[in-house]
Amino acid sequence: MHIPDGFLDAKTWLGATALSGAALYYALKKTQERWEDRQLPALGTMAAFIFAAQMVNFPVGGGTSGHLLGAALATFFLGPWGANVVLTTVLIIQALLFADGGITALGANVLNMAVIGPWVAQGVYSLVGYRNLGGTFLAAWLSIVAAALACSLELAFSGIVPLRLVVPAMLGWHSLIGIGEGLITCGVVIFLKRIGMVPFETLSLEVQKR
Amino acid sequence: MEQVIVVDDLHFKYPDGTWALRGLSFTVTRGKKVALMGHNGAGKSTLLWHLNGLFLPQQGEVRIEGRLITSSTEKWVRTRVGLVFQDPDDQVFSATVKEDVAFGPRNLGLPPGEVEKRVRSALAAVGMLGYQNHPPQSLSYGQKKRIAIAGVLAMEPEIILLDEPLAFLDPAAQENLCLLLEELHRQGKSLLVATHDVDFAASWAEEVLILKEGKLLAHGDPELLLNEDMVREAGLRLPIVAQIFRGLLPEGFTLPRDVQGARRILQAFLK
Amino acid sequence: MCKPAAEIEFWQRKEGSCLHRLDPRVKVVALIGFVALVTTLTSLFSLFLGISFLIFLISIARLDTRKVIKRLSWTVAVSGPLVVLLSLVTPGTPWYKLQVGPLVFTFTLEGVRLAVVLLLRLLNALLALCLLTGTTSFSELMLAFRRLYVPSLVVVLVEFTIRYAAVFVQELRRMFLARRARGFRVGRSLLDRATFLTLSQLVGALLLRSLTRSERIYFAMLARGFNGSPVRPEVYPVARLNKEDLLWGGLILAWALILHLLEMGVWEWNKL
Repeated sequence: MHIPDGFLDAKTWLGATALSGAALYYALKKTQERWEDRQLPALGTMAAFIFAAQMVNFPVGGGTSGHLLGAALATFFLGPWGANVVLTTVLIIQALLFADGGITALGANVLNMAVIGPWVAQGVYSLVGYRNLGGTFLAAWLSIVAAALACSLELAFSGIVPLRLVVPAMLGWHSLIGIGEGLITCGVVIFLKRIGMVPFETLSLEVQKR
Repeated sequence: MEQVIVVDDLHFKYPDGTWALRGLSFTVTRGKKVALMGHNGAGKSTLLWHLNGLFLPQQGEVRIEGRLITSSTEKWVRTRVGLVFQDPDDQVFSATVKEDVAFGPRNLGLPPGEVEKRVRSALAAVGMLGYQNHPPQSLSYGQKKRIAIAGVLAMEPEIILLDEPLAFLDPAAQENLCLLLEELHRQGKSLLVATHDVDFAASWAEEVLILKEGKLLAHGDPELLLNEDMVREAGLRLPIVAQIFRGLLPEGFTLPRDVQGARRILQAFLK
Repeated sequence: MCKPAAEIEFWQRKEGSCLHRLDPRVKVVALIGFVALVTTLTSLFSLFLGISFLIFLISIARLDTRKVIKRLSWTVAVSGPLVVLLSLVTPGTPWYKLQVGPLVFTFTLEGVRLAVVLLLRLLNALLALCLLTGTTSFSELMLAFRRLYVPSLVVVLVEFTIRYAAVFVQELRRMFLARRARGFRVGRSLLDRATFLTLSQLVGALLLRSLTRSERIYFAMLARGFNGSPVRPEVYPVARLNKEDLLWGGLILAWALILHLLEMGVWEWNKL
């Protein structure tokens, strides 16, 4: 889902950059409040984890495979603001060092995968809670599909592909990827629950609310 | 002789309820080489974390150079007591070697010129002077360990705690580390090494503390490690050289605790 | 399991050409500006001029061409199919019909043109990125970002993530190989229960290790006197920009602007 440079027109990528810039600004404030001096070890290790986890390849079918995004997982443990910062970090590294996603398109990619993804997941968590496995699956699946929807809208607004073609194509494919994401996200939550890591927050280095 | 570390009836329990330390009491004299021993899970690391003020005792007290460790003195404690973690990846987190070693001195509030000086001398002490701009992930395990030590040395603490410093090092690296420890001892630093390497402890330490399940089993000179019942109860073993001579020596001869001692015995017999 | 990771190799300060010596801030601004301007071009001619200019710069910088090509081919291989897809999907005058079995693919003229434009834009962006990362060491880049008002937490997180990425990826690989050694093979579809169970365990185990490690790292920071003030790198003296910096920076941006003017000019000619 990483959009390369040149695929979006100026108005789209400038607009997306402005939105994700504003989101990042707020996210940095919020993470400062929540983690204080522990921001670096808490968020940094999660970013390194997400980076590594995104290398996990799962089969979709017919020889095709998909990659984990980790937005729902990051949101589960860090909340939407923390996930925003963590995923932005990962996307920056991917764009700068791996040419995975463009530089001008970074704003759009961040908007889709680091802002919309986490917030959609958070929306589901707020409605169904964190102990509901079906809710966790839905959060993960929806985060992928919503990000894909945003991506297709951006491509359509840039006049690259007609809307009526790109939306079903992207949503169709990413609905399948979303299943994989949902399965693994749920699997991770089950795994941690089984080894006794409940509540999960005990190791996230958050500052205890006084 | 000054007691640099005084531990009195130290108790500590983890949040999940397991008691890690149960009523530990001991003292460490300035300038000594102390080996902290015990089986895995005996509480060695937990104790070290108390001596650096990372954990505060739930019961009992710890005094460093006479001062009680409390939440208000813990920052001062860390300027006097350096702790080298077991896994260098936990300690060396910065983007370059230079930056990481400078982390400690900067936290002390030293001016940039002094920080620079300390970084250089710390790296020189561990033999890594040419590596200032290297990123830590490009270094080998042994090199990272040396950087971790340098990072602590740069703070110039008087008391240095090392958690399993020899673990996973190849023999050459282990030898270099022993030489470094010797040099630090010569500078008058107090050294406390947590280890379950009996051979190392028997040959290097001046004092041995043996922990078992959070309690102090014994505290004395390294001859403790030649006591079969003691080592078995502690979940350790006799030093290899002692094992060789077990049951072979006539009355009046004590088991050797290191290679030198063994050679002396053999020379006496070979005459 | 893992996609081929490009090598992160620019740690050492690179020496080699005048471009290496330029102030990294100038390079970042100029090259990103170049990409911003050029990737909105629409004429094939001006895009070709953009690529030629970058190739010229790359030759001045004496970059390793094999590495550049390797970088390019990876991204083009990934984006290539998408681009081809677009040329099928764009409405317009049919240009070429391809028959594969019972399916007929119609490439439209507009579609092919769009695909070529996108590909050329992509190449421009990639070459500019190669130029930036090939002539600037990682620490210089991070410093440039700090000086360009990128929030310092973001920069520190990027450095930290890179520091530990290799550690975590290796842990993941080791765990994966350990499972492989006991007979695990990745399945074929979403329906393969064993695959997803194992992958979840892998990711879960890695997450657990990450969380416990984050605690130990925090305590290790405390042990060395960390008191909450933001982690700052060495304070480099702020180098003043010299003539060389401004010259090259200006040249790069000017070229991109000229291409735009050229494009507009071409349109003007066409209107006449």
